[in-house]
Amino acid sequence: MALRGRFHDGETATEHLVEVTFDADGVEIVGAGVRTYWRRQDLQLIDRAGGWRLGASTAPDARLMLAKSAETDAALRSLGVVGRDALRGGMLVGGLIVAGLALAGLVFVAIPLAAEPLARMTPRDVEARLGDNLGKQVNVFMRPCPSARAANDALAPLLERLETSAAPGFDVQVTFVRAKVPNAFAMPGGRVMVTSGLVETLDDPEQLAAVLAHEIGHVAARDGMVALYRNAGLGILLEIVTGGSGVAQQVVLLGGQLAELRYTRGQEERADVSAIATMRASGYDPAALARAFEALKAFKSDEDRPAPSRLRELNIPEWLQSHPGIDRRIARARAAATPATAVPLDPEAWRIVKRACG
Amino acid sequence: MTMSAEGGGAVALNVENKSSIGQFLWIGFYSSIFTLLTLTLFRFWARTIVRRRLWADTTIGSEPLEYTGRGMELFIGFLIAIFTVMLPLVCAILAAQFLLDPIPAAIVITVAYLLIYVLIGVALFLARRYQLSRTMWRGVRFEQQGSAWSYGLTAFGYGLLTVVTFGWFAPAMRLRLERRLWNKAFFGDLPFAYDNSPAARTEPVYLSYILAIVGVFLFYGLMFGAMYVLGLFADPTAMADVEKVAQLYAILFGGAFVLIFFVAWHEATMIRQITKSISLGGVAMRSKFSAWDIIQLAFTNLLLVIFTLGFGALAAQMRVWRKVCRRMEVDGTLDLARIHQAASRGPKSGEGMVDAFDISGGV
Repeated sequence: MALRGRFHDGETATEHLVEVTFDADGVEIVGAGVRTYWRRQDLQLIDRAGGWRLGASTAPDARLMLAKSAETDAALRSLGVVGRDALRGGMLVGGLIVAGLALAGLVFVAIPLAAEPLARMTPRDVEARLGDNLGKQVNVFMRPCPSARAANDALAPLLERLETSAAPGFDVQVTFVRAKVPNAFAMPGGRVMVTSGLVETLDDPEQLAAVLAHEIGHVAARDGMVALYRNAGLGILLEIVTGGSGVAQQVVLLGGQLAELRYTRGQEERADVSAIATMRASGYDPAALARAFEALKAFKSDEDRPAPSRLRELNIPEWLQSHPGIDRRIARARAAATPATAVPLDPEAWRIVKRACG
Repeated sequence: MTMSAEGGGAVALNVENKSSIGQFLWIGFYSSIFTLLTLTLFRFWARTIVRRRLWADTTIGSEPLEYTGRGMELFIGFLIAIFTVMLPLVCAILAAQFLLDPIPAAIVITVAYLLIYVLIGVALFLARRYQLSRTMWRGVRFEQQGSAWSYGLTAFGYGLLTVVTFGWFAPAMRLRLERRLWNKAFFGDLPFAYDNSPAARTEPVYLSYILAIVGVFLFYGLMFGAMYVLGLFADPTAMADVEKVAQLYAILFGGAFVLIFFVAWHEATMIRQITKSISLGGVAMRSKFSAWDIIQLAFTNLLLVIFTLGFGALAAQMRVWRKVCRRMEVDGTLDLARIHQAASRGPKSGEGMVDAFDISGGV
């Protein structure tokens, strides 16, 4: 049975009128200047809307067009050309769903896991340089207190003692910055920012020592670097998954994430444990950490009461934001209470530190 | 169709598109769902499905175009672009930002950004090369020749000129870039030609541009005026006030509607000018696309997208293309037997950088 069809040979734009004969192994196409045979395993269904449109993998540009009829439909079905595409579509979507799940696993499991080894592999001088630059960028938004030099000098013996006990592996530098919110945070490379709000909120030098010991714990664990890798990895992966929010935006986004490093609960708890050990080794009472937390908690509830705008909530101390288990942490620090054998700062030095930001 | 018995020879080349809204709504619906399910990975295949349909629905001289691209090619192209262009650039910028001193950092970052602007042109050129190479008619492929870097640098240069002239160069830039592309485009071995000579520029490109500029100025005036009235200048923290921001957006939304009336004429003029500048062999093209077409499309498409909760976005894009096809007129015939297959099969993967930079702008 010969059917009539149209044929594009893929060599010129000419159209050939052809006679088409199906057999069990394929289809023969014959016309003026055309004689070819497409085997069933090479046949491809290109389109079925408005008639059959067929191709062959052996002649990638050639096309055979056939009108839909009972005869052609049956012939194509018996050659197995029809129905192949639906199966392939299903497999594609299934495969992509699996790939999507794998990506999700990468985002939620692999990258957080890889961040820590990566941080450990980073040379310390690279981390220190990075922390310096990051610190400068943070200081654009959070101005360092101009007259903090005296406070830094007064703080130096305490800091040295804590560093000797904790051995964080970086030179710890404290920068007092002007900000109402009581907060302290460790950047990569040993730079610790202490806000004027924190100095005002804390009641005694033991609390300050405890807070610094906690931050030195982050420095020793290289938590800043870990958070950085985690955020950068997530940002890049998000970029791959969602198809680009633009390079520029991406960089801004990453920069933004870097500027507000946030630690996980696990990192915070480890920093607490480290702070308790450091305090004890330095001869201070670790329970001061509990009192520092409580002072910060009190500040938070003060702040909460007026709260006219939801935005205000974004300003709650990072300490409390990322630490939902604050009461448990207070309990742990209190349980570690040990009689002090030393005083972190004498009253004169504490007065000077308290005036760090004028 | 005027076709001899053996199907060679001359064919009338009227352009038509018979896409249906229903079909594109359906594609938009299921591809959105698959895209969600696959964490957006399906998007490359979705775009391929849409193009296949759109091309197949578009006929020239009663013979449909065929899109031969594959989703996997887009996906691979995207991965290549991410790992060879995007990530190195992001890493360079981040490393400079965080590891270098301010002055070398500023130099590296500036160079990286300049490179990105050049790469945008490169990416657009590469995407077009891919698309043409995957477009077939009567068994013969289209082809984009020329250098992507040369196009990217030219586009960058024109972009600078546009900035320096406060936007006055923009329409000229668009026409010149079209000329660059079409003068190196082929159907098989038959070259397209683009005439950008003063004699060929008969449409009121700059007259309509003045109206568009007036519209843009009015729009910005409206925006700043609204911000002033809402007190957003006096108190920047008011930007956090949801009610005021909502009011501002409502005003801008209304303003955008008015803006359409100002820019529609220019856009239609550009489409007509570009279309009539293109020729293929002895065939001349012409478009009757009007400002009114654009205004109608803008409003009906907006309603379409709103009432389909966004699923109609694809159908909306299809309607633009369908209108462009329906307004197209083609004079002259081609001697099809003399047109041979294109020289190259085109790139193996496609459009990656356009995806990586997110400048694809739809189908």
